[in-house]
Amino acid sequence: MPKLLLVDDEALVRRSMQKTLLRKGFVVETAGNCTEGLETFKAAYNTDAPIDMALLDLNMPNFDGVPAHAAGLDLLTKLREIDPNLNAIVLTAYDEVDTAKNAVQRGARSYFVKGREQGLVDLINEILE
Amino acid sequence: MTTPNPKTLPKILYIEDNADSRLLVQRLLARDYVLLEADNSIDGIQLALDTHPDLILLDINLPDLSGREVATRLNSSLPNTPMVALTADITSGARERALVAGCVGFMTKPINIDSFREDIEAYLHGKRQYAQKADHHLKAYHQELVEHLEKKVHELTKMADHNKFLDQQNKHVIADMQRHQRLLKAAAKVGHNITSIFNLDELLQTTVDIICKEYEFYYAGIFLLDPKKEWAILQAGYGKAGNKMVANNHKLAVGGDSMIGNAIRNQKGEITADVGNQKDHFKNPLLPETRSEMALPLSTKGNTFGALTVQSEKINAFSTADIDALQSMADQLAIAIRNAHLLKDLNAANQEILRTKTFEAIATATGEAIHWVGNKAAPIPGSAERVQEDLFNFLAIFQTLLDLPPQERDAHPFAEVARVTFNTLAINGQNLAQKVDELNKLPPDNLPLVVDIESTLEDLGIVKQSAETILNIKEDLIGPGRISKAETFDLSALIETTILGMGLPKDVVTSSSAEKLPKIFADKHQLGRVLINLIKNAWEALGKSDQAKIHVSALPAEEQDFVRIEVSDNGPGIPPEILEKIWVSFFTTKGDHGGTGLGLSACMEIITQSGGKIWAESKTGEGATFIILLPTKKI
Repeated sequence: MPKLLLVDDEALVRRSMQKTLLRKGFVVETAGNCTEGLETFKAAYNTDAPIDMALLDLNMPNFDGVPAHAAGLDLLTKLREIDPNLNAIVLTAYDEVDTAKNAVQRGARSYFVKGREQGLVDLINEILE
Repeated sequence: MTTPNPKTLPKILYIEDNADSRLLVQRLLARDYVLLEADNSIDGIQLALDTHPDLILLDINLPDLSGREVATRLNSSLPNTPMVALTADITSGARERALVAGCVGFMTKPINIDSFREDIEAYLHGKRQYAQKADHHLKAYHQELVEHLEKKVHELTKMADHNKFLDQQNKHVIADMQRHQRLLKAAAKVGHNITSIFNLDELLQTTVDIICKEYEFYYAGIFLLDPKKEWAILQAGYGKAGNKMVANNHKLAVGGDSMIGNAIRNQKGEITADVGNQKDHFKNPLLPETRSEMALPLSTKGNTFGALTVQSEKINAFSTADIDALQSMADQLAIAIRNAHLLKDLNAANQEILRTKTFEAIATATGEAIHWVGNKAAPIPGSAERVQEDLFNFLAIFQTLLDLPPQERDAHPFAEVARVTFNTLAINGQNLAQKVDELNKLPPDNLPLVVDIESTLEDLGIVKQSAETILNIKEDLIGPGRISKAETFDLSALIETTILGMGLPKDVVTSSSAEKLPKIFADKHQLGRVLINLIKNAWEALGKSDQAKIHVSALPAEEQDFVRIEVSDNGPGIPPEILEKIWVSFFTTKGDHGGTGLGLSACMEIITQSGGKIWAESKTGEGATFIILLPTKKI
C-alpha cells in the first residue's frame, strides 16, 4: 500500500482527509506544521517503508512557526532535497494559477483546491498509476 | 559825448507784429531813446497804459485790433501821448483814417533811414498832421469800426454756440461715464457673485436681476443647452414674465431661427436694433414692450453652454459700452457654468469611485469570509459520507446477525465486531443500556418515530447538501480571486462560442459585432464566465420562455480605447430600487430557485480587475441591458 504524508495545520481538515484516504486503503502519516512534517518524512525515509507521496498544505506555519502563505513550498523544497524523486501534491484553498506554477517548478506533480476529498483521491491514484 | 542817462531819455513804444521792422527801428532809435516793443495790439495797449511812453509808433495792419483801433483806444486813456502810424499801407485814405482814429502823424514803410530819427524828434516835439475831409474819413472809420465790431460779435456768438455744444457734449460724456461706471460696478458684482454663489440657478437668477436693475433694461434671460445641444432651455428670467417662462420650461431650438439659436450656433452675438423693422421677428406675448434686443453666446474655450438675452423697450438701446460690458459678463458666466459642470462631473466621478470602492470592499470582505467558512466546512461532506457508509455497515451486520439462527450468532465474526463496538461505546462513556431502557418504555407504535432510517438518511442528506452549498459558494468566489491571465483577443469569436456552448434554445440568443471591432485586452476565460452569467440571468429573468430574446452586441465605445458590450433582454426589467443592489454579493431575486447572488458580484469584480466597467440600465417593463466597457489595451 502506498504511504502518504499529509501535512496541514487545520486539525479537522487534516483528520477528515486522513480518514478518507485511510478508507481508500492508503497508509497515511500526518503532521500539523513544516517542522513536524520534515521530521516524520525523515523518520520514515530510512526505514523499509518510506513516504511514497507528500500532500502539503500551502498556507500554514513555516519552519519558524510563523503562518506563511507559501510555507508548503518551503517544505516541499526540503523534502525534495532528501528525495529528488518524491511525488507531491500541493493543497490550497484558492485557485491560484501563479502559486500552482510555482509549485510545479519546485517539483510538485500537481496542486489541488481543497474541498472535494474524492477529487483528491482520484488525483493521487492518477499520479501513482 | 557823455553817455546819456536812460532815465532822462524819451520813451518810445513800438507796436508791430513784424520782427524785421522792430529790429530796424531798434537799430535806428535805441541809441537816443528808450525803445519799448510789443508784437500785438493787446500787449501794446497794456504796455502803453503801464509805462506812459512819450511817443507811440503804431503798425496799422495788426491782427485782432488794427493800429487805428489801438490809437482810438489809447487816445482816451493817454490823450497827451502822441501816436504815429508807421505802415506799409499806402492806399488812398489810409493816412486820413489813421489821423481821424487818433494818430498825430502818418509815416510810410519802407522807413526812410536818413530822415526817420528827425521825424520822430519832430513828433516828440509836438508835430501834428491833420486829415483833409476829416468828417468824411471819420465816418468811414466809424463804419469800419462797426463792421469790425459786428464781425467780432459774430465770432463770439459762434464761439458761444460752440461752447454750448461742447458743454452739452461734456454732459453726455459725463453721463456716459457715470453709466459706464455703474455698469462696471454691476459687472464687478456679477463677477463677485460668480466666485461666491456656487448654486448655478441662484447665480443665473441674480445675474439677470442685476442686468435689469443696474442697466435699466426691460428684460434679461439666460438659456442653457440641453445635454444633446439641441435645445436652449431658459434657466433664469427677469421678473414675473421670466418666472412664468421658466415655469413653462420655455425653450428654443438651437437649429431654429431665433436670435438665441443663431447666437449659439454662430458663437457670435446678435443685435436687433428695432424689432419693428424685423419682419419675421418673434413677438413674445409675455414681453410686449420689447423694441430692441440682443443675444450673446455664453462660451469659453470654444465650448458654448447657452446664451444671454437682453431686451429693451427703447429702440436702438444698446451702446457699444453696453455690448462690451454685457459680453464680458457673458464670458464670466460661461466660465462659471463650465466650472459648475466640471464640479458636477467631478462629484459624479467621486460618487462612482466611492461606489466602485464600496463594491470592491464588500466583494473582498465577503470573499474572504466565504473562503474561511468554506475551508472550515470542507471536511463536512466527507464526514457525512463516511457516517452514511458506517451506518450501512452497522445495518449490514445487524441484518446478518438477525437472519442467523440464535445458536450460530455468537460464533459469527460480525458478533465479535458488534461486541467490540459496544465496548468502545462504553469506553467512550455512552450508556447503551440506558438507551435500551428508554426504547423499551416507549409504546411499540411510537418506536418507528425514533428509529427511522429514512429520517436518518434524510438528515445526512441535509448535512451533505448544506456543506456542498457552502463549497459551491466558495468555488464561485474563486473565479474572480484568481490571478487574471489577460491577453489580446477577438471578442466577437468569444461571444459566438460562448453562446453556442450554453446550449439555449435556438433563436433565443442573438449576437452582433461592429465590423471593425478592435481586439480587447482581458482574461478570455473569465470574460466568458461573465457573459455566461449575464446570459443565464437574462434567460432566467425571462422565465426560460420561447418568447425570450437576448441580444449580445459588441461595438467600439465612445470612450477612447474601449469596446462596449451590451447584453439586453426583453424581460420584465429591473426595478429601479434594486438596480444598484444587484451587484452586492448574496443579493438574489431568485428566491427559492437557487443561485447565490454571487454571479453579478463576481462579474463586477472580473470586469473591474480588467480595467473595465459594468453597469445595468433598465426601465421596468422594458427589459434590461447590461453594459460592459473593456479596454483594448493594457491599462
